Amino acid sequence: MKKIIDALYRFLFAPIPITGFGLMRIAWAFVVLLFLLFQWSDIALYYSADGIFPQEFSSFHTRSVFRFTLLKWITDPQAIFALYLLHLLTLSCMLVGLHTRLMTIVSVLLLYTFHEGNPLPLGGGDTLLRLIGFLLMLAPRLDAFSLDRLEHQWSQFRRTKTLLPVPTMSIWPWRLLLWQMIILYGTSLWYKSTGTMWADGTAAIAALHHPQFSRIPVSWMDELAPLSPLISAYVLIEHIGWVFLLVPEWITRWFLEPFPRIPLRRCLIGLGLLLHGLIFILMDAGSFSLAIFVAYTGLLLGEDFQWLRQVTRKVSPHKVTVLYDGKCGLCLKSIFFLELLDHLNILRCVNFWNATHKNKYAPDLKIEDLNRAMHVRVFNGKTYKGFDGFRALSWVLPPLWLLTPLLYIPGIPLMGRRMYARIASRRRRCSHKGCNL
Amino acid sequence: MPSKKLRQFFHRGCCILITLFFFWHAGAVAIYAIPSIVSDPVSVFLRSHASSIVRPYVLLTSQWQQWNLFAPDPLRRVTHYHFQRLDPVRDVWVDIAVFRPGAFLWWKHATRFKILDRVFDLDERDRKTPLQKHFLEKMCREFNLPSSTSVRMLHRYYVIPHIPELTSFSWWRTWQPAWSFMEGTSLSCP
Repeated sequence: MKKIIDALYRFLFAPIPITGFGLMRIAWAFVVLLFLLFQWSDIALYYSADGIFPQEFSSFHTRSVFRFTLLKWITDPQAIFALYLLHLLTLSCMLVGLHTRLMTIVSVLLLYTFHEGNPLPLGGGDTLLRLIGFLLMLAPRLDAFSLDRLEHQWSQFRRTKTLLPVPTMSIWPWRLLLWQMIILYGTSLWYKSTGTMWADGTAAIAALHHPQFSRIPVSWMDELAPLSPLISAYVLIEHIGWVFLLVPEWITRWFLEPFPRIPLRRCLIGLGLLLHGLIFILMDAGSFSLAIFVAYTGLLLGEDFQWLRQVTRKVSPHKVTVLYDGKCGLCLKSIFFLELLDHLNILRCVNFWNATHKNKYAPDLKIEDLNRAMHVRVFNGKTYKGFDGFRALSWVLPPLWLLTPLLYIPGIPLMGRRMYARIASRRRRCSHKGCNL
Repeated sequence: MPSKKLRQFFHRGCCILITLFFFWHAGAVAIYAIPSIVSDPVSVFLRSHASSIVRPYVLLTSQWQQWNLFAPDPLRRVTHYHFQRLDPVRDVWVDIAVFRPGAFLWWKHATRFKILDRVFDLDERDRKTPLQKHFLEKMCREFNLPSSTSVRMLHRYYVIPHIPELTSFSWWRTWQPAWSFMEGTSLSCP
């Protein structure tokens, strides 16, 4: 009996890093915010008493019992728009991690209010976002990548020049999320098995040729017609894979022995990114593809992030050295943010006033030059400074990858170098706490 | 500061509650998600008996779900919605607006068509007539139509056939859809 209880305890309460759920929180807030903004001009039309679905007509498309929505009592268009603006605000706070727990709960409940108020516009993606939101509300910790945690991180960094260890939470919300995805794919497979088109391979091309869903001219889809059986089979196999996650590993281990031992969950996420990514590009299925990606981020565990770092290490095995002025408050804060963004653990931050480290990592650089700007030495030994150093760093810091192409737009480097030089020459006016540039 | 025993008792209690909630929630969403169209004895039993137990929880927490996107088979009917008014002089129906794929801005497209498909669902026409009439009344106001103008929603549609030739490139190149019409709800503008 004790063995069963111990196994059950490990199954539900083993600690996992909160990284995945933190990313899922951000992704969820972003996607919900995006699709809410798409409805900016239609809020009164969809949700108010003057709209297409006033509450007195609700029985024609939704249930009357066990239905929670503030829109039963708030019907005035202006009041509903105010509620909508409040929702945008709570989602923004949730995105950046300000009063994370409270903002998450309010955001999810407001989403429920709008969804239950008028289910007519809802699709599969909206349903999935609702389900994920429920788990976010319950998760023990959500403060990864949050402003709430930033102050504690800075205090730690000032004292020890290291960041706080990644917090952990019990695994049970993650298991509920995985279970939800298994239900999604499993029941979808079940539904598909009752039809005929998925089995005979014509489903994919029929869906792609429906002009309501197709993003590109349907005539272009003719080229894909011969591939329809393959695409349909890929979809079914991908669904079956998720159901296969229910099979305990001690059973799959003996017949998967000859194959590379990549976790099935990771493979399925990869296959799913391909499938839903293609659906997102080729078809307009509302928020569904993005909602699936949100769920995938929550399913990432510490071992997945470790694997990503190992893959990156194989591509670029050497560390990137950042030489900074350890006597400068602004520089120290900048290094702090670089360390926060260094998810691939690829940076080596060196205080050039430390002679030992300076001679080890950059013996050829003069103190006078280092004192003028931050220097970044990359894999091939090339050294960049100032704005160019920052641009080189943007390639190895994942949160900055979206910014990287913008830093090469003509005119930006010139402005960036001037701005950097100006700030660097005045940096001594800054302490750890504030700046008077 | 609570004693160690009290903290252990509280911790154990939380673990038990979470464990119970975990299995309750997992079971509830699984039962509710069972496809409504399957007819095997186990599914029918779960839907008819267990479903009523979990239903209040699932509905109140908005965990309701049915994963029938493009299933059992993808939607094959392509519908254009013609909002028309009756020209009293020529006694013919004239288009005021046509809602066809591409009619809406890309960020509203999926949502607007979902609304149209659900409001003007021909399979539920009788049940949804009041909702459809309300929608048409709103359109009367949106298009500034005079009072007593006769309006209707005309469904012009075709169905992508379900034949093996769908996987042939040359078949698609020569295929032309066979359009049909169905008259939807009509009313006089208020």
